[in-house]
Amino acid sequence: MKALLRNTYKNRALALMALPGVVLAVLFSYVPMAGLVTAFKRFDYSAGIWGSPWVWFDNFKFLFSSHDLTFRMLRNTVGYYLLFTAVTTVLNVALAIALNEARGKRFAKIAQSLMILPRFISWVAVTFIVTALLDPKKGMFNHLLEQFGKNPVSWYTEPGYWPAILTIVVVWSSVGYGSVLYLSALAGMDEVFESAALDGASKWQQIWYITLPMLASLVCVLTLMGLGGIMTSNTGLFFQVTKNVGALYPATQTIDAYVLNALSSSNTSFGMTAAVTFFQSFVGFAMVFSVNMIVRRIEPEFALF
Amino acid sequence: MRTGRKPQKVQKGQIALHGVLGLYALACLLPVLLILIVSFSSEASINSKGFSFFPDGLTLEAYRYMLKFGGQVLRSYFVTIYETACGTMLSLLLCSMLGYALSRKDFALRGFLSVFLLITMLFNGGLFSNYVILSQAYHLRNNLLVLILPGAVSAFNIFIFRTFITANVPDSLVDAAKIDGAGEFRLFFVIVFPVLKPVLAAIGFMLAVGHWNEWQTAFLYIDDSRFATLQLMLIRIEKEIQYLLERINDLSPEEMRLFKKIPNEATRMAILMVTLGPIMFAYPFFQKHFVKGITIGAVKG
Repeated sequence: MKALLRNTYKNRALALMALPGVVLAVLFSYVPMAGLVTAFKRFDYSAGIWGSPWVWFDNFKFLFSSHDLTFRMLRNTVGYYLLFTAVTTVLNVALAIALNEARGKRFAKIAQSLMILPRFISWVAVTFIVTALLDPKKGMFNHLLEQFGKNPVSWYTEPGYWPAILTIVVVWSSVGYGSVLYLSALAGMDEVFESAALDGASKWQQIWYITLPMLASLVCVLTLMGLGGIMTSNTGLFFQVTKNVGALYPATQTIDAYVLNALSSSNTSFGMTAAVTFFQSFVGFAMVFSVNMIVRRIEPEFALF
Repeated sequence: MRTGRKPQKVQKGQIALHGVLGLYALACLLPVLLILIVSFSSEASINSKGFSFFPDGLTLEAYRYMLKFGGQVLRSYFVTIYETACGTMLSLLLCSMLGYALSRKDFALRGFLSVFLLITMLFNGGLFSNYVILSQAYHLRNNLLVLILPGAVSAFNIFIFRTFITANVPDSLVDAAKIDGAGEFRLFFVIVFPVLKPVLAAIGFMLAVGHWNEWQTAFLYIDDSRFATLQLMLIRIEKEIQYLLERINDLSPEEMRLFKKIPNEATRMAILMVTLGPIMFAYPFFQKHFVKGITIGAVKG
């Protein structure tokens, strides 16, 4: 202990450099962790966290007794997580291979730039774009449907279309960017491909026997590391792009969208919100922790700790 | 015979491949192009043909109207620029300093600090707890600090800085500078900071885009329109329209006046184009940096 203090005094300049960041981490990460106790209280905004009365597990009882809503939130959160992960992983890899195989390097470079672009467009802007396409009266899709003599669709009241719509939006916004990492893993492997080609391997054989196995461990690791986010969802997508329309909730309401809606409406009962975010934080932690153990086994340099 | 055929077959595959890639790239661009075209469309065209790639005639009306509506756009622009500039610089400075402190093997606190930061990556208070603490305990509602402080310390970025410094600043360099009498701060800002340039550019660009596009913080904590970011302004416009349209048939005279003042579709798209502009402009210059950044970030900190 004494040695530690002496060392810290000797390195006080370093400690001083670390200090502002540490203070902010305490204020904006650690204190909110402590704020999770609200899950065991009947939170009253005017009484504050400490002033609100304890109700212990009442909020959780309420959460698990309102089956339909809770089940729907969980199903949507986890379901979309799995759907998006599966679809984007396959497309990320496919796109990386396609870009890598393309002979016109200049062309591939420009195409890739355009594909990454959507990643940098804000979700509010994406909302405007989706509206321009799907607006019941002025949207482009309904005008096209009418031109082909079909009936217009009331997109914002039919939940059935939204799993597909949301998946398309996610693919559009993330796949170009997501493929960058895989592409950089493939770069510099040209010699392997050349020798394989000399040995008479066809393009498909090369992809199947060389490229895919080479990417497999990266796919595994990234998928595993992503699992920590299984309880979270992008509010930009599920709250903004869906315009938080009640009619769409069966297909679009995730935990985060529910919480954001509760916070932004003049709702005064936060019991369920507090309980569900508590649940979310703990499941998230358990996932990151256990997944990290697995990753450390198979690919130590990718493990967090 | 065989040697004659094979290159041709490869050629065909290549053409198909380039075609597919080109089409996908186009599909990525088209939605943005649609917004751009709508922003130049006349109101009459939007009313008759809807949002279309081929409007009846192009006009600058929307942009002219936006200038008239300009006060809020300009104010929001300043707030967003403030958030982006201050938020990015603050975060880069704090994270790089922490990363440097963690990289120094003779710093006894580094083990503790690493765990301290790691925990913030594993566990978080979640949306609700953060909201309660920030608004109720810290009174950050309608405070410009809420836009830059909460996300400023990112353990992930700190570990990237640490890894990069460990790999690129040899201990001997640090020792030599210390023998020459340089203090830690001189050492960091004069010797280490310049070496960090590529990481600073990569992380800085991602942070800046994140701040520019951030909407949820402003949405939750800012009511005062003087502090509304561009994204929040866009959300507000959209919300007001939704609200008024739902009750279009029984609006009070007051609301009717409000309704007339709301920018029409083309103008909204023009405002949107203006908010997208800076990113579209900066993007090509930073592309090679953030591509590098993604690769650095993927390998363990």
